[in-house]
Amino acid sequence: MGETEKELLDRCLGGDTSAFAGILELYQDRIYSFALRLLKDPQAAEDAAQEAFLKAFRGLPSYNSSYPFASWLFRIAHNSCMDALRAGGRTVSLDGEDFPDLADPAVNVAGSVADALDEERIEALLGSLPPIYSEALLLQYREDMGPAEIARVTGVPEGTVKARLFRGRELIKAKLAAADATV
Amino acid sequence: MQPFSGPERIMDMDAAKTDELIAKAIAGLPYRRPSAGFALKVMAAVAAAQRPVLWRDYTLKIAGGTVAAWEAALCFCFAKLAVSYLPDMAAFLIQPGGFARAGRLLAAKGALLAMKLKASLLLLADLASAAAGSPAYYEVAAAALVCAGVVYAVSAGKPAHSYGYGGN
Repeated sequence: MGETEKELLDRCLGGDTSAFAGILELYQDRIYSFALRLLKDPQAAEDAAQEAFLKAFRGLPSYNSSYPFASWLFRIAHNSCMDALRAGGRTVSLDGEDFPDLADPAVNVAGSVADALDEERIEALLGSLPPIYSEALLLQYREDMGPAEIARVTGVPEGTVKARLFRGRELIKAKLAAADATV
Repeated sequence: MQPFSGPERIMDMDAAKTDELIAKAIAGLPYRRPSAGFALKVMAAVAAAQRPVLWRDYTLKIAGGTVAAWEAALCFCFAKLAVSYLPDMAAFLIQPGGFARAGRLLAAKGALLAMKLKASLLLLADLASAAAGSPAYYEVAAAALVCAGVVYAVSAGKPAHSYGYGGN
């Protein structure tokens, strides 16, 4: 049976570097996928993920075990991705929440959503959203984090996280409605 | 009156259903796997990040060992000195009132040491305040350069033997 996350962390904190390989194995796909969906470039995502793991290794002694390790690691990955986005010249709205055009509530998209939202489509829709919205949606639904945990990861108030989740969903609906209208 | 009724309620239910479908679709997204060498690259970076720490530990150990060896040598020398003076000290101490005299001697030595320490600190403070008021190093260097230039210019026309030792 493989070691648990806590055992691996204890070994890492005890100076056993090889235990970090276990941590890496546990989280590499999740962190890489998260970075890939935000940065939309495999090489940039690998670089950001590598930087995140390296920072995590260096900062391991400062990790507070009363919080989940995943959210701590995702916070580091979030910072690496935001740095990469800024370095790439992308404007990342972190405080002033821009409110893009939302779906017309009169348009009923539920009927077509079930057919439309296959893996490729939702991937494309998430990719078309501003990173702050796709990030919030991914953390909530893919990583199963609550607003409070997402707030810790992204470093914004819980209310802002809820607003981002709402806007992210509304943007997806708007895009689905727009796609329906063109068909 | 109910908060939602008729078309509004249907719209609200639709919205909730759409949200649920979006949530399910995102939750069902597969994790992507990084390239084959990713884990090796990260572990190599981790190992490289550890190297400075090891180097620092090694340096600290050497410094610690050196200090310990130096202290051991000092203790040895002091012990040798103490042993060599032991007969004199014993003779001094066995005299009537020897302990009291030794105490007074130690107190006097301590007071002298404290005075010296105080004087040294005052001197250091004076030096520090003097250094604060002195010109910057580049000003001193520039002045020295100008002086050297003036001396060279003045002496350039003079015959060289005028400055030699043992001339006539």
